[in-house]
Amino acid sequence: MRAAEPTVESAPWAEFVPSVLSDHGTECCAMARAWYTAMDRSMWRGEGGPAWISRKFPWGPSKWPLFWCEAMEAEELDCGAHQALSMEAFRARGIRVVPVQLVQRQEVHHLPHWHGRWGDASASPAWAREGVAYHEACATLQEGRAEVWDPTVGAWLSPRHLEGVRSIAAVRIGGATASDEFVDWRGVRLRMGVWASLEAGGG
Amino acid sequence: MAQRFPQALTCYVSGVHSGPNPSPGLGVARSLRQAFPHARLVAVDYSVESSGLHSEVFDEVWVQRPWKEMRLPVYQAAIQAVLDGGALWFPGQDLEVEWMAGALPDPARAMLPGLAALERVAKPAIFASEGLPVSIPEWIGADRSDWDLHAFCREHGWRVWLKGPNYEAMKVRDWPSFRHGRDFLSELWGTEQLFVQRHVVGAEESVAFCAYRGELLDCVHMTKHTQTAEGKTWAGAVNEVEPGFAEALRARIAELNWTGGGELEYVRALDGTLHLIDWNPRFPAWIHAASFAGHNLPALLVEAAGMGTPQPVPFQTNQFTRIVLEVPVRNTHPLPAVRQANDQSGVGSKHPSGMTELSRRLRENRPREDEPVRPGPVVVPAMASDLEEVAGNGAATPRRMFLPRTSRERFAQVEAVLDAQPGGTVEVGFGYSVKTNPHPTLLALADQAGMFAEVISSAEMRRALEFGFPPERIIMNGPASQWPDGPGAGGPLMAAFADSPQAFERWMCHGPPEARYLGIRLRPVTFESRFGSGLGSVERFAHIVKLLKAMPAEQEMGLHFHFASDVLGPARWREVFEGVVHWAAAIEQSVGRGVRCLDMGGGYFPDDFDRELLPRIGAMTASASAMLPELERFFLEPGKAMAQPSMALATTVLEVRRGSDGAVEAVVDAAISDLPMAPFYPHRVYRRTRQGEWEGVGGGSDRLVGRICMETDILASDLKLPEELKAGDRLVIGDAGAYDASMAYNFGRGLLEDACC
Repeated sequence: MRAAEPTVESAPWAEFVPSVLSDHGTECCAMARAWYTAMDRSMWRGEGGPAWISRKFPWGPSKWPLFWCEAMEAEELDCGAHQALSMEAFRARGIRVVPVQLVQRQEVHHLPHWHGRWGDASASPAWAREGVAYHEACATLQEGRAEVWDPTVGAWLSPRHLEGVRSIAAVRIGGATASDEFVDWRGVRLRMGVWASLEAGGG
Repeated sequence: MAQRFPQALTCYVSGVHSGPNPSPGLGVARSLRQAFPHARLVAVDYSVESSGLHSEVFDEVWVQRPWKEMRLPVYQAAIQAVLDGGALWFPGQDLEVEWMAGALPDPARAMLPGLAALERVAKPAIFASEGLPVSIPEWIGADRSDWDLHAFCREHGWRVWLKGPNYEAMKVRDWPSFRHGRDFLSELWGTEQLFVQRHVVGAEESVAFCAYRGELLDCVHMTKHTQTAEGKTWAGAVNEVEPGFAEALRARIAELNWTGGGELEYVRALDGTLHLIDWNPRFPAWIHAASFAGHNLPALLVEAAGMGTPQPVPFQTNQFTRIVLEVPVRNTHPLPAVRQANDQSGVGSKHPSGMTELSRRLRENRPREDEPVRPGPVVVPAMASDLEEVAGNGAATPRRMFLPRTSRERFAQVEAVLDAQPGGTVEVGFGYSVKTNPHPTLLALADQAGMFAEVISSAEMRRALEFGFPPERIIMNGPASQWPDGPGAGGPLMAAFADSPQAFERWMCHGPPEARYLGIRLRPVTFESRFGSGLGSVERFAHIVKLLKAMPAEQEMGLHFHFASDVLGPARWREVFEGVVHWAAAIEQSVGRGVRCLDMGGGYFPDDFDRELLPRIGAMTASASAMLPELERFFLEPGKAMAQPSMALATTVLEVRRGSDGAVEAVVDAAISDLPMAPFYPHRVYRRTRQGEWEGVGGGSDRLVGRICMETDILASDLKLPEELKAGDRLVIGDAGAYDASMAYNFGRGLLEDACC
């Protein structure tokens, strides 16, 4: 069973901004960042995305604001934290990277499980609605082309995934501020900072 | 059975097993059935254990005798009769294709390529791939010398595959697994024609195609999404082939004049490059998934052969997965009887295709060659001179011999690098690992070359002091560096590194060793090690930082990282080195004090030390000092690279056992206790010819076994011993100067350790 086709406008996350880790500005967060940077460098093999992050910190509830020192000691992190960490990793490799926000189709009956799990952790379940979910990723940019890295899955996403569970209903590349810059994501032209609904055949 | 094939199309489909490692026949048949509902489909296989025989997609089954016992000319005539009767044949097994291409006088209705095309797609070179946007991963024939093979494996970080001539591949992780794999695959396939190929990290993809008389009819691309433990496809996605790839394939198919199905298997590396692993002369087992996606390739072959027009294929989906189904067994072909549980023959565990048996049959028909001899080691001038001087004097054996010229050459290399000072403002030093071989001559050579002594115990420290190393030229590390109690160094050491946070904490409470640089050993984060302080969590990192912060303000800080390079290969070791430099920078930043000394090692294979490490020392030092601005000393510990070639073991042949099958086993007076590292890396073996020259002994399957009653007392199992070898002859086993010397033990000599009470 699936709910009505989601639209960005109908969901509360149209106004969401990409997640950013906070920093206490003290030794705790400085040490956490230093550890993270060295760890990422050790895990890097010269190519590809930082797949180690979601292995080290499996997907689960995070409470926001989330500080660096808390994130690095967490047993689980949500997709926003994964996104923020991946951005940091790509930047450290000298790659231009921007946040990506997605609306994905999901199973209707998964909602109470997510609400329960996030509720138990005193984390906000606002990302999940009936049949849809808000998700965060990041995009590497090179010569006008974008590749979208889903740090929670550890995989590069395709804009042609338009049907079924986890398919992409809408996407915004580059954060919440509209820009005049356009990027090409595997044949789909998108304006940075603007939500776009993806439809079959649109790419 | 009701006839559902009023028209003339009859297709024989071979290789129909459906298991975790399926053959393509069932998929081919399902696609044919979809396109030609009234066709007569006959399943062909070579064992009643081929599960697809029982699929209802087949109208008939034609089970042959196993390849091992089949009369090939009889089968050849039977197939030809089937083809002459107007049927088409879709082969599903690589070697069956090879045999049919050579055996059938008129294979026109068999959907298979010719012998010339098969030669062009044979592994590992796959010459037919020229012009395609793929490269062939580096490989080396297993007929090369063990020394070269070991070097290839190290070069690729022991991420390599040992492969058979047709299929079957074994992952190699170290030298023992390589040797085991070589023996296993040679025995299995009845051939020495194996090769070693580097592993490519990336996504596994393939392109399946069909062609008729050189015309590419269609092709599809498949990405594996999930695989079985054997690496076989379990789920995937079928899409169009990239246009550039398809056009290049079309040209190759025309050149090859290809007929039949085919599959190119490749890896898409993280950087997007494609690395071709295999070009199979038959459809893949997932071929029916292409039909779901609107590309019925088997049907196109029928149409191209003029045997009918396929029904249109509706597009269903481009993704597929496999499922496991129970199906009724045909009454005509019941299951074989249940084998008695203690029957070790294990027929049920074999793939029912019987390809290994066919491989043996095919090779039986080729001219027999003598067992190939892998080249022996070259006797370089320094070694020739050493052997002449120390091994030709008839002294009692077994005897470990110091090789003076070979040793001097090694230490001279280090001295030359130190003279050049490649580190610029950072002083480069080399540590001689005393544990590799504390022989006085080697210690003296290390001292003369300007090396430091790296010690792992107080006992070793006192040995280094005794042989002239002043305290300031000693570096101490190890899990029990201060064992046993006794006199101290008498002055500050150059450096001392605690092996664990607990050890460092103890130093801080009770007083550390007096050393210019004090620090801690770091444990690697990407592979297992029992040594050093773990960095795998921020808590552990914070603990290390806290401990280092507790050092007195005037104490200079150093960091230590050791992991054997020959286990990782030099390229991966350099990756780890870069990671360690970043860890050092993170520690420096968090502790708020500069890292003044970095000590890196170890376990370098001698050739890698010479060719890979020495030329890069300047770049490595520059990289480290760029990240660590206060760095003033950079120590490298080559480990066994210095000592390993410096000694050899002379042994005398006690008995030569020649088997009726030609296998030779020589019993010698040395034993595994004299050469404990024998299983772990190749040791070069030398002998003096009748002409009085020293020559290297080549590789084969002869064994050199030791004198003691232990099953493991096998010094070599991959030599080609000379025909004229006899009792009393002398052999010299090289590369025995490091752990072979320092870890040698008494066994079978009637001796017991003195300390026993």
